[in-house]
Amino acid sequence: MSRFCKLLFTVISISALLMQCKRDFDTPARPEDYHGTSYKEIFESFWNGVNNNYAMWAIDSTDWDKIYDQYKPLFDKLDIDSTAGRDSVANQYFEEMLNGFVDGHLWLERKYGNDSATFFYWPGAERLKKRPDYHEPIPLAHFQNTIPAQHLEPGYKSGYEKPTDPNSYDSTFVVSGTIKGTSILYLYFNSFQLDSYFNQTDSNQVKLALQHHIDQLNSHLNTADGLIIDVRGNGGGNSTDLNFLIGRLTKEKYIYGYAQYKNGNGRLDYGPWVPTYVSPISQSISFEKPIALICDIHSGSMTEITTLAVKAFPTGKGVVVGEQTFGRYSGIYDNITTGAGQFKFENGKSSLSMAYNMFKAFDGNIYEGKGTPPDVLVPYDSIALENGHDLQLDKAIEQVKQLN
Amino acid sequence: MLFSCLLAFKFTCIHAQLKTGVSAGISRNYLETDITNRPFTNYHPKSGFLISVPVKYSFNNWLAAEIDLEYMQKNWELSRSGYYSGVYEKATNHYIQLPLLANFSFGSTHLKGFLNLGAYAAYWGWGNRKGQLANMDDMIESIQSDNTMFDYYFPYRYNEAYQFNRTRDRRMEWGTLIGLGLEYAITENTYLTLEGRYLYALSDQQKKYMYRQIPRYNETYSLRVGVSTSLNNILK
Repeated sequence: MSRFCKLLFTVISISALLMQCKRDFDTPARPEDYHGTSYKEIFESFWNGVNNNYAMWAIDSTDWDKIYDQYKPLFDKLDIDSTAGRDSVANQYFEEMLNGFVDGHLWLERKYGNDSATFFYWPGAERLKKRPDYHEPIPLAHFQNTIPAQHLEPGYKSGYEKPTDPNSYDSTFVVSGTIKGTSILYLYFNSFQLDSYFNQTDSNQVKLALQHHIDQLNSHLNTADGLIIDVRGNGGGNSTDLNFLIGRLTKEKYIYGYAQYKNGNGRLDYGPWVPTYVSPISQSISFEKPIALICDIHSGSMTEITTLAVKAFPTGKGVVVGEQTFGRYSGIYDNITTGAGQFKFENGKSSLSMAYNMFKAFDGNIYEGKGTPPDVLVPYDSIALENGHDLQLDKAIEQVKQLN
Repeated sequence: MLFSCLLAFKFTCIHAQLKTGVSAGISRNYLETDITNRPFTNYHPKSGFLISVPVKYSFNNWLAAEIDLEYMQKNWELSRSGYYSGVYEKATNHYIQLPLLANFSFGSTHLKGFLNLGAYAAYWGWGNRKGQLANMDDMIESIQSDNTMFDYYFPYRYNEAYQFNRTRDRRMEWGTLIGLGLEYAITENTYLTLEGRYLYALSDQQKKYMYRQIPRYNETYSLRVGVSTSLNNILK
């Protein structure tokens, strides 16, 4: 029995020891919590930040482990190499590491050289320039001057955010009117800042133009032949504008897509697909006439969400005319709230913008990195534009008449 | 190693006995991992259900070998706190399990205490996740307060089957176990058991698919009540 007791004691002790072993986890810190200034630390905080916070690993082919193997020694070497120009070399490395990412909202902004210089790299924009259908944005003057003068009935209303800088796409510009010789309402705007301007207490020009649009909708609800929403060159903006613009046209809440959020540190830790909605607002009307949305390759982000909202419009009379859009859908938000997305590193000097979720359209397709395909393709034609023919607008008018 | 040691013993089979029965009880599972880098986010243990069919062969009056065919739930919850209160996900995981153990008993004929030591293999069969999150694409038009995310966004509630991910998820789990219990002889051939058992997973729930991957292990406590009967009279 004594041999048995010794054996039993040994077995129990080993078992108890195994089960009491506290497991150690090598959990990486948040990128904001790396305070070192060496290139080694910069790389670690950056690589871990992307590893844990990028929302699109499920659809992205970037081999992030291979990137680690390849670039960690290079960044370590930068600490050893004391020659001038190391920051520029580091910037080149960042560009190489990021250039394959599919997220259209991913861009790096890095201050260097004692904060005197800024490096900015946006893979999505570089990818856009390589598209065979790439062209420069249509000059804003076309929407400010040519369209109102040639295509709208007198009495249109336009407004700028910054009257002193009307030629910049950074200024918010809105024009509301009626297509000449028709009862088709027309709205152009170059930035999704509509809700915020409309709800300001002062009578700013943008607000007045938007009020004109709303008044047209309400007074011509039964007599209008349709609505054209022109968002060419519009790079996006506030998500609240979706309901302000499209939710205003329906009393029916409907789905235009689905979003999936990260819920853990693992690249494939995702929650369920969550429906994304267009919701009516308190002043909503039931707009039963055709809606044509005109977009181009520079239509991005919130604009692309709006293309899907029009395609999915409950009346079935929404149509998208123009070109395939930019290819960025998800929003940008802090990663504590959303479980993924943008972060700062290098003691706050650098920031990496990233989308906070993965998105698929109501038709089940993921258009991230590709863009919404139009229902009716009308390529950009600079010669036609120079000769006063806006082929994309003409087609939108034609589509509205056909659907009516 | 355990069974090699046991096989080194010379047994006398005077009291050899084959028993089987059924036991059922509750499980309490802890998901051991680390998400301290995710603010306001924690994992919590959850209870579940188990049912087991043990087959036990007693070599003598103090040593037996047992194998169980078992169904066990190993559940957990992920939830957020503070401003993010109300965001949660409860995971229900259904395992088919085969514990293999050595049973050491002590006491009288009618009432015995026992110690179980062994190992187990488990197969993740299916799962379900139920939860709530703030739908950031479903905004509340009129904000009334600013206490939680749900003052700004409508909740999205879900209750769906978990989709097994072949890249990430591992179906098989194995580990060690230890149990302590009591066995009471109701009649000469029928026994009532009460056992507390602890399972310690040695395998990660996930396959290794990325660098800096944080592993996840189940640690499961259970309390079970069972009844068993001797098959010796039937087998003679």
